Amino acid sequence: MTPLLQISGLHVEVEGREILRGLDLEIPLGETHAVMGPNGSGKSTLAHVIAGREGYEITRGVIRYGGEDVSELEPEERARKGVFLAFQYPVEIPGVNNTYFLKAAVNEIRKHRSQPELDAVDFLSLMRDRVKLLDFDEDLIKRPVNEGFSGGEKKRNEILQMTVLEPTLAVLDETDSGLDIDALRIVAEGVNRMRSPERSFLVITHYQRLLNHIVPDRVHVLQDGRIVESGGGDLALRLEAEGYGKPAAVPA
Amino acid sequence: MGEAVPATVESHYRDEIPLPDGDRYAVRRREAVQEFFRAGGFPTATQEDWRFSDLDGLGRTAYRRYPELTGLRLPEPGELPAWTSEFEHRVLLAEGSTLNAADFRAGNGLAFGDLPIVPAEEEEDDWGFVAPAAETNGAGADLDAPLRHPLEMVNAGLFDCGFRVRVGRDEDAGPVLLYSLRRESGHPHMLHPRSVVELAPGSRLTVVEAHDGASETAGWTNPSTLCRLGENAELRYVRVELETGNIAHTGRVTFQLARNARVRSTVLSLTGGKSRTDTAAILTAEGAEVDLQGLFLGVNAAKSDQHTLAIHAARHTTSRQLFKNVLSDEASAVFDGKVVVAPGAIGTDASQANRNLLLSRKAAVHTRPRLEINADDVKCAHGAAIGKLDEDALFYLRSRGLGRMDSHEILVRGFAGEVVEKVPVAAVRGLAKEGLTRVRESRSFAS
Repeated sequence: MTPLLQISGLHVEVEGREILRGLDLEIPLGETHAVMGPNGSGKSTLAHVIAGREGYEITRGVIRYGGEDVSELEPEERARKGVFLAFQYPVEIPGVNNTYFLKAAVNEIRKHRSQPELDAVDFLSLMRDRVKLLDFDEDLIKRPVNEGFSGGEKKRNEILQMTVLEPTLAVLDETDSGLDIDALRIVAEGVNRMRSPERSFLVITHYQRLLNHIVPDRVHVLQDGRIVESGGGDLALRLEAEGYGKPAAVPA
Repeated sequence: MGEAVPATVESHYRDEIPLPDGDRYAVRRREAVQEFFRAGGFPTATQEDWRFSDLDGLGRTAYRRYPELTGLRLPEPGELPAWTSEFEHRVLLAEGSTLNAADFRAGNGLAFGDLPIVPAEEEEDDWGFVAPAAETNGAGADLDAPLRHPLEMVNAGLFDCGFRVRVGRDEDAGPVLLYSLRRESGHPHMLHPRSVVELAPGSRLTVVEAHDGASETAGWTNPSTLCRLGENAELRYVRVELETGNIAHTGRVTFQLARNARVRSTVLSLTGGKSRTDTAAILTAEGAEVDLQGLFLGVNAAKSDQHTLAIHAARHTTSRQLFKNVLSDEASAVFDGKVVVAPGAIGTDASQANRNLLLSRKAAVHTRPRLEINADDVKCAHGAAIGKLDEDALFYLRSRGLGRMDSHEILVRGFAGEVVEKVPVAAVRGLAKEGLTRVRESRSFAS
């Protein structure tokens, strides 16, 4: 079966600097994979390029999603096909109400799936349900997007958006950074509740800690813009104990 | 009515226009124009306050005035735009008339009337208004500066329609719409509407002043509004600039505040032409507070100049200023904001911010916050920001499935919302939404 996400030989330049240098990664539908790596290895670039950020230039290689080459698609086109990125640094958007924003996004995606748009009442009851599950302060959904949110509240807002938008591929970019242990558990529970045979996760993290809560099917090590090692959950534990060390030797 | 007589402002000064019969204030009006020319006449771009406001041509153009315009019919109430019908009180300041066309009702503590030309302090005070008095212990504050504004003098000399709204002691009234409409006359013509809004002590009032109309032939609109607030009075003032076409608009609104009086003002500029508005607040007594806001939604070659002046003439007075510009295409804006703290006005709390969103490389903004502080123990803050839409925010919205155009629009609406949401009248918020739609449909949007 075709993997949901299939990245082959991907080279990406940002502002003229090559960050990803021949990255290969496959995630079958229904699986959760973790990508771990030291600072500067290209983790966030990988997250952004999957979501379609402008300015991240693919010089070689291809990103396939559901068998389709999505390398040239706009970010919104990818989102409507079911790609979701939980940001490492969620953006504050003054003057734009959180609920309004999310309702517009949900309906944009529903429109693409030929589902009827949700009216205000249906949407609100959907939100209430998800907000409760994430132990999210209900006042926050009425405020401008992320404005004045604490670091933990921002991360929870990302997961809230994910649970409402119900993506097929969710990329979590260092969602654990800046979270205390209670917030981490709530976020992880939110993710685990969504795991299903119809959905895949790419969990990008620096630390193994998160993977105690979101147990991955596979772990990949990203170093110098390439996946240098792949394995099961025990690989994460080994990295935690030994550190990333020096770049693994790559055959010439 | 005979053949129209074109006249430059200066020709009034030179007595070329005969004084109208039955205008007992005509001499006084002519004196105001003479005073204007003695004071230097039309300002030029070499003067500091007029660097970015090109008035060249206003003085030389032979504008006609009502009633020199023949064949111009006043609009019937039903011909006014739909949004105006949401007001309980509508006053039409149009083409030399005040009340003729629009339905208006007195009552609810409000009194309306044509504006007498005598200055307010010479009138009998029969309704409990207490004129603001300066309480500074210094002599540095020039409280009349806004009234000596050059174009104020022109208005005082030439005003062709005047209106006064008063709200009685402890009454709560409004919203009142003062609506000025320019119609195509086929000739260059000028309008000088003049309004006075007076709030007795303890009263509350909402006033919307709108300037509307389109003209292909050159036009000049030069309105003046003076708002006087008694002790503990509260005014919510909204000014809407809607004129389009070949019109130069130079308007002023001045607030005089007595002890503990409060003004919340919004200038919403949706002009399609060139517009300059001078907003002045004179805080004459302790506890007076103003919150001055502005929003310009500029498309095509529209230009909006916003000039503010907050004079803190007494202790413990507060002024807040927030002016925002959204500029698409070749639109341009000026913000020139001044805060003056008089000697002795200790405990002054003043802040001023100008934020600009440039949606096009050809859009331009000049911003100049100015503070003049002559007292100790005051809090004054100011800042200006000019930028494009935030790329991170755009990506964030698009990564959630929102289209490129929609994402741009959401961010622009968010930027404008800070000002729009505080507008106390739904009909005016509706006009702002229409302005935002024009921004979305502008050539440079999301390009």
